[in-house]
Amino acid sequence: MTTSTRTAPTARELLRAAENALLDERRDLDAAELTALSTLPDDQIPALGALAHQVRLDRCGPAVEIEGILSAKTGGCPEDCHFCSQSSQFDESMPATPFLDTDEVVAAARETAETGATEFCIVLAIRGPDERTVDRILGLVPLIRSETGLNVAVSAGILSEDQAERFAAGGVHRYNHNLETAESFFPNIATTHTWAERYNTCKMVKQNGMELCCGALLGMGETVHQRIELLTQLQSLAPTEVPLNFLNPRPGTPLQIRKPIKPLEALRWIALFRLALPEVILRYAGGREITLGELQAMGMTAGVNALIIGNYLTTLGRSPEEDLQMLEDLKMPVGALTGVL
Amino acid sequence: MSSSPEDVRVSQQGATDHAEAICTGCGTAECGGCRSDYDAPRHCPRCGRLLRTKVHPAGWAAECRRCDLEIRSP
Repeated sequence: MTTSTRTAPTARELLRAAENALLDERRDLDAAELTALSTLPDDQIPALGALAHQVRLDRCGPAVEIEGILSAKTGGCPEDCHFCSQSSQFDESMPATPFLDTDEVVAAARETAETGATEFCIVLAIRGPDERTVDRILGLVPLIRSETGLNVAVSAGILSEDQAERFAAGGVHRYNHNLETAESFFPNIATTHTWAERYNTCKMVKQNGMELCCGALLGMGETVHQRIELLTQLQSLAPTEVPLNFLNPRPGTPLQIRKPIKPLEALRWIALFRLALPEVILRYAGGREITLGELQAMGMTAGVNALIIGNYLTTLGRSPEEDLQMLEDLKMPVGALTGVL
Repeated sequence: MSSSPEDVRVSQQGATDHAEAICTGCGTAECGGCRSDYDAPRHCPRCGRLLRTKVHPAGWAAECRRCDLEIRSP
């Protein structure tokens, strides 16, 4: 009598299968395939990153999109997102700053344009915009566009159908609304709104003809399976852009006690995001400096093809010169990725 | 870093002051300076109160409404 024993696929077999699926069959990876890749040993992460880089070049080309962001209304947010220092729900909440003057917003857009960026995002710490806020944004978008030539994106929380229509008609070419994490983990992160409300706004953005920018935040205590769940949820939304954030634990927030994730783990998930979302603009966002340190260039060769330059909403980034030098050293040209994928 | 030398501090009278003693990272006088290179000042270097901070792509500005103190990046 013979017994057949099925052995687990080796790392090389898993990587070859993923390469065949993405580059030959040109199909997306499913949750089971992504889960298998997520178990590769640490010493295989450079190989995983190399495959992700190949997929990025094949689907997106060599260009890197640079964006500047501005918190145009900071603090005082009624929501209780546990990672966010701008919530008014925590003991040591950041004092609120009202909507910046038009001159301040335009000056920030000019700072962004000077770096060679093509994208500028106006971000507001609010649940969703009221009528006055919608009017302010609709006044700023064409002004920034005409003054700087930048594409203007907006992040202003949960939208109504009417607001989504008006933003699309008013020249907002991309709207940011992050899922942040998987549906099953979301109740651990926010209780003042639901994951479904976020998902619905994301769908509405696309239905109204704006590009969807829908990001993730890793390192909040979610499991590997929940990260895979998030990837499949992002696959179902098919956003144009995914900004990938790593938790930078902020003082005074419920997540202040968490440690930043390790650099190799961050690189593993950068690669997995690219392999799950082969055509997306995958943007380096908040937390990359404290998470990756000296390894930031490795992310650019593991699937990332966009970055936020300069400072973030309430924290500081490394200097634009360092990022531009990194791209030059990697021979990655800077350019807009809107509409080319 | 409670008194980062590149910070420009302008008081109500317009005087520049580099002799503040409270950490702008945690707001305590005992701290040797815990604010990282990737954080804007959070606490007033004079009174320790939370600052109203505006961060923009190339810098930041922070204001203490109690001390009428404004701090800016270079």
